[in-house]
Amino acid sequence: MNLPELAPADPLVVPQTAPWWEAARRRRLVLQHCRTCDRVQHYPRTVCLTCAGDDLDFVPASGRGVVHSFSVVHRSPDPEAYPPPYTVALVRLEEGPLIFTRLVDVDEPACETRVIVDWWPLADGRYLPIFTVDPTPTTPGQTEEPT
Amino acid sequence: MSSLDRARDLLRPPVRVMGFGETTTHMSLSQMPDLTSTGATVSSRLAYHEANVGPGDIDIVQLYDSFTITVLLTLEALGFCKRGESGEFVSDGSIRPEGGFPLNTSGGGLSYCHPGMFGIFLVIEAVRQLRGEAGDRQVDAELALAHGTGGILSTHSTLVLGVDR
Repeated sequence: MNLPELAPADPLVVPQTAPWWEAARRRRLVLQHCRTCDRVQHYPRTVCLTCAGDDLDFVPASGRGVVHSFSVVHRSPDPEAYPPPYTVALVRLEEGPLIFTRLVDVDEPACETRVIVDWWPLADGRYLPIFTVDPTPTTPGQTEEPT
Repeated sequence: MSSLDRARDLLRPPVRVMGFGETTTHMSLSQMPDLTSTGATVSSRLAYHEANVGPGDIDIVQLYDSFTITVLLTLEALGFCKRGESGEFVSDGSIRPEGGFPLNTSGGGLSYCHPGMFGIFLVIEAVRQLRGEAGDRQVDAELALAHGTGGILSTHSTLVLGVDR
């Protein structure tokens, strides 16, 4: 992957995001799930955005999605930590939610491009999800056992 | 702000708040319901309704131009042009001086100053215009609209102001 070896900053972990980060540590993409209304959402909250219920868990996501929108950054806020150009994107995951992320090794980013998750190491052993072109729409995302 | 009675008793002519509206749709960009249509549709609907006017009645507009896209999205959401047509509306010259659509007559954030919290300057310019204090940039106006946008296109606040008659 055309990326610096380590992602430059360790994102904060708070109680409602801790299970999401535990999955990311094992390179699993998960989505917060409401056991009352069965909807999924991202980023994790203390309540369900659909029904306001608080009986929430985490379920595996396929890791596949499409580019909803993107922006190529040429003027970086910190060129050493974030060498330009790089592409930030909103990806619409197969399951519905949007995730704000980075597109890597995507030569000509475009809306609706099919993408798949990959993982960028963080210094503390976690991984940050980033997205690359999905070679075929039927490529299995994550075939390992569920979280 | 003051009661109209008190305001009429002061040195400068009062400007009336005819209507206002506000809304918040999201915090982070990934939660924005629609990248191409902002909450300004809601805040302006409330303000127009209270003032009993529509976009066609507004003589002068001050809207926050945090970025150029903010201007385009806001013009559409406030009803000054149709959805998707703001690009043409602007490139046709409408918002230039003498272009027929007086907008951000002090220069806006892009030309006047950009403190990152421009909202109050929108109200100040609207009031100055309605009082006839705008000198070389004076526009003949009875009704003004000021619209502030905060966060990441997150929060919206619309004011319709009028000359006190």
